[in-house]
This record gives sequence, C-alpha cells and structure tokens, in this order.
Amino acid sequence: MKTFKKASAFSVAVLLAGITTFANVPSAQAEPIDVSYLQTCLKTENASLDVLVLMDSSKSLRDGKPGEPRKVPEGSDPGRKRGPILKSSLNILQKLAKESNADFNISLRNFGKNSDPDELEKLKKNWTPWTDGTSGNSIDELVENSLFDDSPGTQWASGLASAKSQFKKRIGEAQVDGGKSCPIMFWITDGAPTDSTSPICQDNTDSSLNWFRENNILVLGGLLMPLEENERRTARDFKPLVEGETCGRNEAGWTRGSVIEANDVSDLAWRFVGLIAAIKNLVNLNGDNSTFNVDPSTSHIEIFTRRISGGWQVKMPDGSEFCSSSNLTSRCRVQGDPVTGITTITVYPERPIQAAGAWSITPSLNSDDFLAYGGLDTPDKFPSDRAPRLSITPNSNPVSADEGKDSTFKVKLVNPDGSDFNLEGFASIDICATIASAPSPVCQRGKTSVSLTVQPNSSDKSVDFEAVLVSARDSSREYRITESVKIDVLLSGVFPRLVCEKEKDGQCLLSNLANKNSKAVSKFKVEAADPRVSGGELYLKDFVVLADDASERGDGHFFFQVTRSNGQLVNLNDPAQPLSPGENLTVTVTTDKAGSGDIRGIIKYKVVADGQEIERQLSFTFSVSNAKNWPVLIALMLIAYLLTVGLPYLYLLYSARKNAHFIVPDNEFAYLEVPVTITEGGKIVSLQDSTSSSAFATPAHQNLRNGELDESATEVDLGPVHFEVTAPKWNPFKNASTIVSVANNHILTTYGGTEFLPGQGYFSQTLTGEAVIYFASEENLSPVMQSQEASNEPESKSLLFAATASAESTEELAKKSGAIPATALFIVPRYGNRKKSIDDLTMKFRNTCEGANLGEHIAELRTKELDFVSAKIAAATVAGANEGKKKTENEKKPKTEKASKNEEVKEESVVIEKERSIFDSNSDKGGFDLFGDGKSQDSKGLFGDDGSSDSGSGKSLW
Amino acid sequence: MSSESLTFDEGFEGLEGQLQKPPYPLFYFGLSSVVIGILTGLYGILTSSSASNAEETIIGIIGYVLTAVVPIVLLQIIRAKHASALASNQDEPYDIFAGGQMSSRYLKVVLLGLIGAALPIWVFFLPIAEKLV
Repeated sequence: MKTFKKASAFSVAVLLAGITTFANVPSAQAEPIDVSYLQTCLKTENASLDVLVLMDSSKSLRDGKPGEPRKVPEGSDPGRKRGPILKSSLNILQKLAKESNADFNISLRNFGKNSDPDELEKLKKNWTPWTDGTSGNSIDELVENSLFDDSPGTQWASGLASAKSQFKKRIGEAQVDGGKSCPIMFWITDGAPTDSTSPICQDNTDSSLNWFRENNILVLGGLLMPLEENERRTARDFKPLVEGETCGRNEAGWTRGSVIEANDVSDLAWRFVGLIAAIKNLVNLNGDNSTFNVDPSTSHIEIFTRRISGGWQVKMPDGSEFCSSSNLTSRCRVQGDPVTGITTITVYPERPIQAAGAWSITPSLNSDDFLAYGGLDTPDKFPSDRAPRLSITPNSNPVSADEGKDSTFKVKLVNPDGSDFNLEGFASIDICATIASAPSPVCQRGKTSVSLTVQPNSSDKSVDFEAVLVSARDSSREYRITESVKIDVLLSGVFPRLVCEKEKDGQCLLSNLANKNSKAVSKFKVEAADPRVSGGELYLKDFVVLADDASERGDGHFFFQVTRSNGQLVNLNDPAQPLSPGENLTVTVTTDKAGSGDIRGIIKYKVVADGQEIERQLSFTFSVSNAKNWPVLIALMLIAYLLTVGLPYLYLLYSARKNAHFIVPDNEFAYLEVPVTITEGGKIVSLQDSTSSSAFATPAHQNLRNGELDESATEVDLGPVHFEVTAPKWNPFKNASTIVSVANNHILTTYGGTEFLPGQGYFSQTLTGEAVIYFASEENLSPVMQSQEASNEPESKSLLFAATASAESTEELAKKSGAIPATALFIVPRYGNRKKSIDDLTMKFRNTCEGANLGEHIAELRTKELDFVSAKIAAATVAGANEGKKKTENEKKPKTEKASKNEEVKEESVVIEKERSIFDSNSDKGGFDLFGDGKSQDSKGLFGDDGSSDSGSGKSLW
Repeated sequence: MSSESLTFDEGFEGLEGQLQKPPYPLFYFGLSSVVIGILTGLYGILTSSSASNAEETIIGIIGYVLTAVVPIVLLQIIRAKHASALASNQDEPYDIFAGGQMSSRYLKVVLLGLIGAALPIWVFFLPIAEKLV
C-alpha cells in the first residue's frame, strides 16, 4: 500500500511537473521583449536607430550540390525567403525611425567559417559598413548581400566579434556627435555552432554577449531549426544562450536578448511579426481565433493574419463594425505581403480611452494564423496625438543640473488632453528615471504622479523616464510610455578635475601620432576645482576611443600609458593609485595598426571628495598619420641595397671572372697544323696531300700533337696562334668571350665564322672541336704595282722634225691575285677516338670554308684593300698638289686664304680616314657598353650577349 | 645538293634529337621566384598602411629571398650545370646554343630580381623609418 501511495505521489508529481512545464512553454514564449532602453532611446534628441544584421552564411541554408558531402541534402532556406523577411523587417524599422525622428543606419555582418582567411575574405565581400538606411536601395543591397550561403561553418563567436566591432564604432561615433545610438541586432542562424561558445558567455572577450547586453543592444535571434537531429539538439541552446539563461548574465540597466525559433522559414516570418511589433512598443493581446481584449487607452492595434480571404470585418466591443475589407477608412489600413503571405490590419481606435473591451474579426481564423498587438504609446502618431504621455517638470531644454547633487523631477502620466490618467484596467504602474551614469533606475510604484531624484554626472546628457503599466487583464502585457529630458550638468566646485595642456572647444588636444611606430606624448594635470578648496583625489578609469577614421581599427588598437612626473606608472581603474591636485601626468599614446585619420574619445575618471564619488569624462582628440622619415628610409634603402644587392653583384662578378678560363676536358687537347693553299677559286688544298687537289683531305690523326694547360688557364699559344679567354670587366651578366688572334694575319674560325677577319676572331671556350685557318694579310691581300709600256708614233711621217717612235713605261696599282698560302690549325680532344674527332672537325672545317665562299670573299678582300690603298695614294697626291699650289699662292695672296685651303685639305683627309675606317675591322665600332669590358669586340648594350663564348660566335641569342 | 652535304644534314638532324637540354625547370623556377618576390614587395607597399611591423618584416625578408637570394643560387646551379655539360659534351652531346641562350636569358631574370629586390627592402625598412620620425 505504501508502495502504491509512493507511486501515486510520484505519478502526480510527474504529472504536475509536466503540466507546469507545458504551461511554461507558452508563457516563456510570451515573455515580453526587452524594448525598454530602445523606447526611451528613440525619444532622445539626435537618436539613431542602428540595426545590424548578423546573418548566418553557412552552406546548410541551401540545398546540397551534387557530390557535396552533407548530412542532410536539403537546405533550411533554399528559396532564400529570409531575404524578403529581412527586407520587410528593415522597412518597418525604417518607418519606425522616421516616425521617431531618428536617423536610421544599417549594417551587415555575415558569418560562417570566419577562422579560415579565405572564407573570411569571401564573407567580407558581402559585409556592409554602417550605411544610411533611409533609402530603399541601401536596404535592397544589404538584403542581397545577406543571402550569401556558401561558407563551410557556423562560427557564432567569430560572427559576434565582427558585430561587436561594428557596434563599438557606431556607438562611439554617435556619442562623439552628441547623439545616441539605439542599437538592434538581428542574429539569424540555422544551426548549431561549429566553434566554441565559451567566449560568447565570458566577460571581456571579443564576442561576449554580456557586452551587447551591457551596451543595451537589443539582440533579436531568429533560429531556423536545423534538419539534422543532433544539430537540432545543439541548436536548442541558442535561445537560452541569447536570453542569458545559460550564458553570461542579465543585470539591471542591461538589455535582455530574445529569440524566436521556427521550423521553416515561413514560420520564421510569422514569428518575426512579434519581434517587430515589440520594437514598435506594441504588446501581444493574446487573442484567440477571432477576438482579442483591448486595454483602456490603447491607441494603436495591429492584427496580423495568414491565409485571410476577402470579406473580413473588424468589430468594436459594442459589436458594431469598425472597418471591413469593403469599408476601409483612414483609421483602418490594410497591407499585404505577397512573399510572406501575411496581411496586416492596422486599427487606430477613435477614442483610445474608451477602446477597452473585446474586439473581434470575422470570419474567425485559425488561432495559429492570427496575432493581435496593441499599444498605448507608439511612435506612429497617426492620425493625431492621442496617446497618453509623461509630463515632466522641469522640462526646459536643457534642464540645468549640478554635478553629483540631487536633481528632482516631477513625473506625471497624463491623457493626451493633459488630464490625469486613470489606472482603471491596469494592475500596476511603475515610473522610473534613468541616467547613464547610474547602474540602476530610480523608480516609484503605484502612482501616476511621482517625484524622482537622480544625481547626474558630467557625462550624463539626458534623464530617461519610463512608465510601465501592467494590464489587469493579462500580467504579460506591459505597456511602456517613455520620455526623455535633456540635461546640462554643471561641474561641481568641490571635486578636483583632470585638465590637459592643450584644449580647444572643451576637448583635449592630444599630441598627434606620426605613425604606428611612433609615440605621442601629452601632458595632463590634476587641478583643484577652486584654489580655495583643497582635498579630493581622482583615479583614472579608462581611455575609450569612440571614433576613428581608419576602418577596422578603433578602440582596442590604441594604448595609453600614464606616468607621474617621477616616472611611476599609473594603473588604470585602480583606486589604490589616487592622483591628488597638483600632480602632473604624462600620457603616451601608441597604436598597433596603421592608418591615418582623426581619433576622438574620452578619458573616464572617478573623483572622490568629501566622501562622495562621482564619475567624469574628458573628451580628447588627436590624429594619426602615416609619416615616415624619408631621408632615413632612402639612406637605409641605399645601404641595404648596397649590402644586399651590391654584395651579390660583387660575388657574381667574381664568379664570372673566376669562370673565365678554358673549359677543356681533362685540361688536355691535341692539335695539328696543316699548311694549306687557298686557290684563286676559293678551294682549300692541302699541301701535304698533292693527290687530292679537288678537296681538302682529312689530315692524318697520327700527326696530332698533344698539349695541356692549367685548369684555370685563360690563354694558350699554339705556334703563332694566340687563344685567350676574356673575363667581363664590370658586367657579371655577360659571358666570357674567347678570342683567337694571329698578328698581321686574317683569320677564319669554325666557331660560327663566316669570313676572314683581320687579326682575330671568336673561338670556343672549350678550345677543342674547332679549327682556325689564317694567312698573312700583307703578302696575300695588298695590291701590287704592275708596269705597263706604251709605244707612241708621230702623227705624220712627212713632218720634217717629226719625232721618232718612243716607248713609255707606266706603273699601275693592281689587285693581288693568285693562290694564298695559309695554315689550318685543328684542335681536338686528346682522348677518345681522335680519328673520328679529326674527321668530324674536318667536315666542320670544310663546311665553314664552303659557307664562307672563299673565292668571292678573298677577291672582295683584295678589292677592298686595293680601293683603300688607291684612296690613300690619291689623297696623298691631292695633298701634295695642294701643298705646291699653296706655296705659289702664299707668295701672292694674304695668309687668310691659306687657312681656308688648309681646311679643304683637312676635309679630304677626313674623307680618307672615314673610308679607311669602313675597311677597318669591326673592333673599332665602339658601341654603347654600360658594363663594357674593354675587350669586347662589339659591345652593344647593357646585356648584349653577342660575342659571348656560348652564343655561337656572334650570333644573337635573342 | 651534294650527297656529302645531305649526309651531313641527316647526321646533324639525328644528333639534334639526342642533344641534352639545358635545365629549363630551374629557369622557370627562378623566374617564378622573382615574379612572386616582386609581387610580395608590391603587396607589402600597398598594405603598409594597415600592416603591423611583424608583417612588414616578414614580407620584407620573404620578398628579398625570393627576388635576390633564390635567383642567384639558381644562377650558380645553372652555370655549374652548363659548364659541366660543356665539359662532357663529347660524351653526352649537349645543346650548347640552347644552354647559352638560357643562361643569357636567366641573367636577365637575375637582374630583374636584383632590381625588384628594392621593393621588399623598402618594406623591410618602413618600420625603422617610421620609428625615426
């Protein structure tokens, strides 16, 4: 029996627990969204509604591609319906900002696998910085970018870190500009995080959710439940995490986040209705499928329906029709969204005070497709100002207040016409006053008219008031009526203060930072407020950078070091290190990130005097540039270049010179001198073999003589033939050249030679496998004098004194003719098949000679030589004649004409010299040669490689 | 065309097919190194307004190694291979012309690298020049 009782008791307990849990689900869902800060914020002057969309961009949003490894092939939003939902929400918020006279800024941060630099780059391409969202284009662009869905991961912490950075920037800028940021973050994700969530839940991390809550950023999470079961389990942590139940904490004065969960994107759109309504200061009236109870003074009702057909009718509590699909008035508006399928009917009761009661819509709808929201004080003031409001006294703009002293405000909740607000229909009322410097608000309960006292600090710019009315009908309905009063806080004469050396327009001008590697030093002083008042001390809390022109730097990238005049370091936020009036401080600013721009921020410090502690802040500004010490940079550059490029250059030069030697296998070679004759027809005939008169016979390899040279030999003489490898002088990029020379001879080599060159020619650095033929220039090319005899007879024999016949002998310069005795030198490797080597070389030699067409070539050489000598003689003759003429004319004419004649002679000489130079060898070409080595035959430029030993003897490689 | 020259040409063509080629992969490796090094230097200059000192130092060193050190080391290897191929030309026929051509072209790559080394060197010294403002 006892067992039965115990079992029954246990069963009942389980049943009760189950019921409680079941009952808790809807109540938890119905928990109002914390829009307290947002509503008061939007009432302040120069407010801006700043909405950041933190959008999941993981691949799980889209369907899997063929071959893509996926647990679930279906995507959670393959149709990208989140785009229209987001666009619709942003459009509503844009309208809200407009109605609140607030600016509207939007920003986008996608997240996925942010830890991968490549993936982050892809994500960043879609990021949108803070942009004025008042134009439709900017919203369209942001929505378009938010639809990126190709990142392999879902890293919440990284996404939050990027969002935090953006909000810091925006909040700081708003503060600097004398405004106030009213921030909202839509955080939409479809799955479990792939990174650790612990940084999200800790304090002082880049992704700390506490930071968002503390800065009153309303985090509205939208969770599309993942399709995979394990991920669904993990994703369920999202809601308690965002709402602070299992992650971080919620403190008084902070803003609590909210999450809506949906199984598909259409469901998400439906649930988003509640979020947006809450932002508009509307509360859920928890209607059933056709009726909803409205509280007194409700000035604004919004009915959301799905799958509504035409022919609907909205009825007032008395049963009369307020409006219908066929009877729309200015107090009843209808708006349908074809994408989400949601129709919104907005109703403005004519007499809000008398609006209380059960309203209904016909025909009745499915309760899942019907939502009704109502509000007392909404930004939508249409058609006229009919909402209850808070009347504040005093309310001059601004209200003067003394720092650290009590400032009392009379706050009264009144009807639109100024009459006292009737609490009938409401269970309770709380009226609170909040200042930014106070951790928690000052509140009074139960009365519509209260006196609230605050103690503002110099950092406070406004006092925010809020009345929270709880409906007697439903305790979950909390109506908020807000107001904000601007204040001007006068500094107290009791407390010492921090002053800076340079000041302009109430702002400290810190020394400018030249660049990220420099330090900017500024001086500060702790000053007594009044010389007559002594005592009090202060300690520094923090340096906060609020605005920075350089993107992605801002707060966190500047380092402020404070030292006393004695060099002692002052720790920030350390009450144990108080600073007394009269103390001088040095603040050194550095940064770890480059970027030029103006920086604005505040120094927060606490002052303690007469047992009272207040917080103050001092604005500062400075600029950062990218200055460089150009002379030093250029000097360093040159030195470095000299060392790092000059040394390699020297090494290359050394290496090039070192390698400028013969490369002969085993440093040994064999050579053979063969006397030959170059016939008039240009054939080479060996003198040793008289039988082969038609072609050059292969020399006998038995006659080869051996030779050897040092490993690093640069020159070698074989009889009159001199071989020399010439190292580059200054240009290490030029290969060594090998020259073969025989004095007073013309030379033709098999190393690419095509003609006889006077004195020298190019040769192979390997020395072997090449041949050279040479002959004496003077004996074989110079013209010869030929005698000619002429017989002259008299014209008539009848002449009495006719001369007898006479013979005259004249000498004439003639071209040299006949065969040329020459010498051929064959050089082959010493080892190996020498017969084959000499055969091959002979073949090469023969081909070279045939290619040179020696018959014509030698005739041409002889003709040139003849022309040259003739020209020389002619020049000498002219010079002689002129000389004789000058002698006679000198006697008759003044000397001035002599000079002109001299010039003529000179000109003629120049012509001759020019002609001579044409016939000269090409060694005198004297081309441009930056790194010319002086011995180059035809240096043509910086890197001309003509004449290089490996370049086919003069053939251009390029 | 004489039968002798025909025989020679045929023999030449047959020989050309067996010629040992110069080390082209080294050439292209060196060229890539120089190009990447120059691009690294350019990247360093372009990002100098947002890069940290450590990044600039690393970019400077990597860029210098790629533009100056690697090409010179490769030059020595190419030269050594060329000299060795020339020395053993009798045993293993070597395309001397192509080898010389490649060596000559590679010298220009080295020169380009030595000129381009100015960029990473510049980046390397930026932090020092900034400190001395």
